[in-house]
Amino acid sequence: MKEFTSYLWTEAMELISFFVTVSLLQNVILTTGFGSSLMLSIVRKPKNIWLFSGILCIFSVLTVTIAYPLDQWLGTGLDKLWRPFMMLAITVVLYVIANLLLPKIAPNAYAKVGRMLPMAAFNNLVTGIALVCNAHITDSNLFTNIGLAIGSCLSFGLITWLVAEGIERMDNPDMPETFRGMPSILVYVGILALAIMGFVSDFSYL
Amino acid sequence: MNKKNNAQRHLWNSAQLFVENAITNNIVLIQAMGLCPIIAAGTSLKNGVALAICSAVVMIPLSLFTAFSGKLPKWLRPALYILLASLLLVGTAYVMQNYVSTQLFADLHLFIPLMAVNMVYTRSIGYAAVVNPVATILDALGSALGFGLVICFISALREIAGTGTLWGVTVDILPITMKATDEPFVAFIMLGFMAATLQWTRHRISALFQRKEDDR
Repeated sequence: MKEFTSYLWTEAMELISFFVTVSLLQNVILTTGFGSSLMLSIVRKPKNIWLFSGILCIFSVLTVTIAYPLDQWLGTGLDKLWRPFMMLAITVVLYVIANLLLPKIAPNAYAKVGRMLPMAAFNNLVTGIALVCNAHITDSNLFTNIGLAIGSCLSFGLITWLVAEGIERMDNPDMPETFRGMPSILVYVGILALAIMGFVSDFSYL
Repeated sequence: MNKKNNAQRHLWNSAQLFVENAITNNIVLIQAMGLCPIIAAGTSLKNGVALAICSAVVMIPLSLFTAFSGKLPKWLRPALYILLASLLLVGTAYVMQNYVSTQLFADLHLFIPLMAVNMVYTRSIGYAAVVNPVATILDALGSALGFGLVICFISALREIAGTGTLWGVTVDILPITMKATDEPFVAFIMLGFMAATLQWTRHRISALFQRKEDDR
């Protein structure tokens, strides 16, 4: 019992360390570009940022939670060309289940979030994190993968909020006409990515 | 006569859409779609061309599929779209690994599957479901061309600046090389300046046409 508790404690600490590193120090959008188009779509509706990030987190965590043991069980039985298809198929199944169950068990919630489900399920962030976890399968475990997924989605929410705040400030007459809108947003995100480069550690997504 | 006029008008509108997606309302620089492969993998011209071809190989058949999938429930279409896209990309990855270049596949093995969830396609789902197949194909072609132009240009610049080569061939354009061009921030900033250039060009052309209208 003592050993089991000690094991759980160690794994929980690993999950938390990955979560903190990924969410605060190595922002997934700024270090890899995963979810950058998604971020620029969501940033236009600041009220939905955290709700969307929460839904994104659910899909991401469930995908890696199902993919990890499945990957271990399949071992070398599945050609590596088909593993990404397996990841996407898992997300598709989760999306279909969400669309079948939510209208029945929580119709009000479905009315609110139904339109966000396709974007939250099918994007480079959810699939990218699942593929990264698969790529690092020999030096990771389920807890670190879950920490990575949660941290990535939190970092997505943080950077989207930061960009939304920046857009409000960039919307002023001093901005040259040529740079108004998307050009200034892209340059702003680039400068944020440059700033975050200083925190990049030995851990690499890619 | 009316039918012929209508058909000509539809074709003209579709052609306009092609040009819009490819250049004037570029899918990457104006609509901000498909950024991830450009930022993460667009570090050499070979990568750029490979991903542009992957994009076209997936977009065109899937747009046709979506144009004819009107009877399916709306919520189910994205799921089927993604599954078909990923199947097409498995085939593309197989061809790349076995018949094109093992090294290229090793560089892009993570990004080829990610093309299945590229927002360039997911944007097309909503569009393709409400228009005719000809417009759908031209929309897809325009988007693929627009994405291809941007990724190839950015990749070429990053390769020249990063390694002093273009398509693996040494080119002596810059006196120094900067390894940092592989980093995402360079791609974001380059995209920002490209978007600004496109915006400036659009404003100048609009102003020119406006002046001609006023002169009349």
